[in-house]
Amino acid sequence: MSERGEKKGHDDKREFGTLAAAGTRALAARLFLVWLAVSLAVSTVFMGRLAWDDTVSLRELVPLGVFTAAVVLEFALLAGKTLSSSARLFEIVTFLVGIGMAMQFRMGAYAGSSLGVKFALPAGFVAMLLMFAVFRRGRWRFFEKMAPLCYVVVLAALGAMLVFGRRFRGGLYLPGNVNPTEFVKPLLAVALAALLAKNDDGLRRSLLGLPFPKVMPLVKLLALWLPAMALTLAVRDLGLALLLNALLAFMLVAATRRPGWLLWFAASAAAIGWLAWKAPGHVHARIAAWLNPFADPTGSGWQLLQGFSAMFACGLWGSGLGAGLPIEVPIVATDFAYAAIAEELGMILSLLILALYAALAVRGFINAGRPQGKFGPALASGLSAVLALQALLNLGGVVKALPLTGVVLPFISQGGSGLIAMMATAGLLAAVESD
Amino acid sequence: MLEVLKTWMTGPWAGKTMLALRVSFFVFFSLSALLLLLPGRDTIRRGAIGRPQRLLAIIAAMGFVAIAAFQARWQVFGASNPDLMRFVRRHNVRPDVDVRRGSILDRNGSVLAIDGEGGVRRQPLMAAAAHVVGYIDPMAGLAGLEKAADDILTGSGTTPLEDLKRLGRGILSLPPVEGTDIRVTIDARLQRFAFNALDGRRGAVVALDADTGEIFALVSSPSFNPLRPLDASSSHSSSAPLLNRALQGRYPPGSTFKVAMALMAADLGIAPVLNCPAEGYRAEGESRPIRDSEYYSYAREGRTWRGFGKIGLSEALIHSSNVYFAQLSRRIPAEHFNTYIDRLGVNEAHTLYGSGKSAVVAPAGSVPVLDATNAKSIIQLAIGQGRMLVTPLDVALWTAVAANGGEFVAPTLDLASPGQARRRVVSHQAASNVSYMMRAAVKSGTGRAADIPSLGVCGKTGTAQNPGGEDHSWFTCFASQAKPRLVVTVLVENGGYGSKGAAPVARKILEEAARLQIIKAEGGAAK
Repeated sequence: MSERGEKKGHDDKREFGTLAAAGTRALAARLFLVWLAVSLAVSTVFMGRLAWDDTVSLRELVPLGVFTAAVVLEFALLAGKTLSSSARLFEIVTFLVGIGMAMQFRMGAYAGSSLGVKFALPAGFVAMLLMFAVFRRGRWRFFEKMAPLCYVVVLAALGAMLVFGRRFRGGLYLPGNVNPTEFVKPLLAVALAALLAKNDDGLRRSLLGLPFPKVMPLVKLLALWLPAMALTLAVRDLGLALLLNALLAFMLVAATRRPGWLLWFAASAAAIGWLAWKAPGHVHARIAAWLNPFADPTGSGWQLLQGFSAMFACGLWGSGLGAGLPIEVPIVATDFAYAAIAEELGMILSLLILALYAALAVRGFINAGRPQGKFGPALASGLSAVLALQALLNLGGVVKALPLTGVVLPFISQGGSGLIAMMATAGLLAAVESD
Repeated sequence: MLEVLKTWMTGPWAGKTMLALRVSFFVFFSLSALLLLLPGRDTIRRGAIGRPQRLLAIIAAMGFVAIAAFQARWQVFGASNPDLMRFVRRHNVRPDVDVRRGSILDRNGSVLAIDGEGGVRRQPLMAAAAHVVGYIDPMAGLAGLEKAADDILTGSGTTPLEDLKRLGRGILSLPPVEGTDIRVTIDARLQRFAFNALDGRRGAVVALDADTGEIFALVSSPSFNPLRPLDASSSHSSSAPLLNRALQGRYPPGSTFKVAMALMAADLGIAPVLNCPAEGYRAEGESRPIRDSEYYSYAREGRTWRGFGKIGLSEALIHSSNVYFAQLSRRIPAEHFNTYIDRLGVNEAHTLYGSGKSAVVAPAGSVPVLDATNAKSIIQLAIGQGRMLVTPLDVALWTAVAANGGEFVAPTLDLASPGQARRRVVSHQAASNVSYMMRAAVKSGTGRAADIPSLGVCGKTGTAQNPGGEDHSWFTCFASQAKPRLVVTVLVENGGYGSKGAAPVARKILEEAARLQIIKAEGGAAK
């Protein structure tokens, strides 16, 4: 920015330029620090392994190269623009994705040959930045028109899971371990936002503090909701059902300004909990293990308890990156990624990770009021809720605040479709809130 | 490139390089995370935030705070969770975590159970103390003192202040989780000796201090390997090695109950001279008379016994006359009998260590409460038969009443317990009289096999008929005359006459107790 130093001018354009320059410098500084922290994490793991592991090769550092390139690309895209809240959202997501990449590198995820895992990182960054670049400056309104199509895609994805899905560790996947339900969450948020933008007045009516919606808006809402919910329950993904109902409750509260809609979530959570308790097989076992993991420590409680002992063993400061034994926790790379973080980084640094997730959610919600009109705020609230709820459901399962739901941790858990979907969601959220 | 790094990381600077990397990672991770958490210039004005948006933001933030709180439960305060400590101790895979279980020590500080190499539990006494010490086994769970004191031993029976101290230490380093040691009243030497004295026969030994209630030895035989309790549960089902006979075995007390009867009679001042003929005593409406054992032993030898004739309470106890005690019992009112049984604590459970669900508890014996409908059953009860089942601990407890001057003292295994609950059962005089009679029974009566003149042993034999086979052999006694007065109660299942089966065992145990100077021989000159 060549205007630097010319402070005499008073015209708006020059003022804008100075602001942008200051923002750009801060953006550069923060992105550099994020990159440095991630590189140090990867270096620590890499150098630690050199001492004893003969299979180490420089090719494993490719993800760090990809990450570096992505950070530079991100800076190039964002530099010089006044972006209100979006820049920070990108910085936080970049930090979380970077730490996730370092943890996956530490657990050897990139040494394997799974194509999805290798390409998820660059694809995720491309998806995030593309969503932002394409749909910013109000272009996200396009999604209001596309809402019916989004809804059809949601039903198609769930239907495909029902027909072609194969069970793997209690979860359903399409061939090639693709999990389209990751895309169901943001797409359903789009469809809901469009519906709520048109019907918020009808749904706002309340009686004695309880929601008492008018008939037609409620019928429309249920017509949209029940088929999706029926399919979700048919594929027996109760974690997804719980997440989607919480998403609906959050979006209803945001659109109608009636906190009473949270009762929707309470009622649906109770119903899903009851269903899970009555259901045979792994769902029931998960609830029982959540209630008392010590009842069957070597069986259904093993995963939770290994996570707890990993946390306990490494205390406030953690074992140090690469020095713990996260591999002892079953499924640590995906569902239990946070247990590995808590073990190796310790309580104090993992509190910072929690704080960053909280900051992401809080920023998402409070900036949801920025866009004009009804669709924008509803969509921003919905996308923020997808990210926040997904993180809460996963973390709550790992620390035994909630039963295990099979939901992965956004940005950090290993996974192809999950990482791409969550980064695309973040990119769209940034686009909506950047106005 | 890679080779250069590799050489470096196997060289002398490897450790310092790793330290530098870790420290700088910590610094830059915290720095960048904190920078991202700072409010930026883009922060929206408070007033511009809609109410629903603020509500959702608060809910989400509270969710993450709750996650942090739940995580701290394991990561920071995990040591105060006994379930987690048990799991970590058993399934620990992380070499830098040392969850040491506290030791169980006897009254002299000798080890009863301790964590050895690699966290493997060791019990030096093995089978000799397996029932009282118990076990901690991944499959079989917990038992005995290992169970009752588990919270203390795993280090979680701590106060909040201690938890905070531990947290304070944890800020700088990761301290091993230290369980707390416990001291119990058992004397390891006497325990081992008593177990060996039973010599593998089915039976039990209780040795306790008559004045403090502290249990010195609590033996049950046959026993098991406390490091492999499951082996015992699968085989030998008939001899029930896992059953703690000293506390949970229920037997008819036989003539040892005459000590209790004599205490009642002496306290009530009933000590008549009664005729005890050879043909026995037949209560009205009973078909079979109660006879003395001499009647049968003479008959087996083809001789005729003439009976004890007119004897008093003292001679009756010395010779263990069934005929006398059967007649005596008719003079003890039922309500008094019930009161004495209550005071003797026979029908109540005794908590020997700990509290709540995981305590070491001796279940109650069962002596029927007498009323108008079953008043006559006192005749059978008086000689320790009938519908009456007691544990060896119960027998030791009424022996202690005779020994300590008439008080019931609650038994305990807890060396730290501040004096046991006590209550008066009979007058000091009555208890003293009965102890003279017990001395005479050992000196010149049925208990001669247990006599050690220097200790002035006072005792009573018991031979309890049981429907399952040969008679159970009892001997209950105490020594010496001066404090400490050690009560020793021995039961040998199907051991025949008390004087043959149990009394010699009791004698050996008392000799060993004197040798170990648990009791002193100086009072031995008395009587």
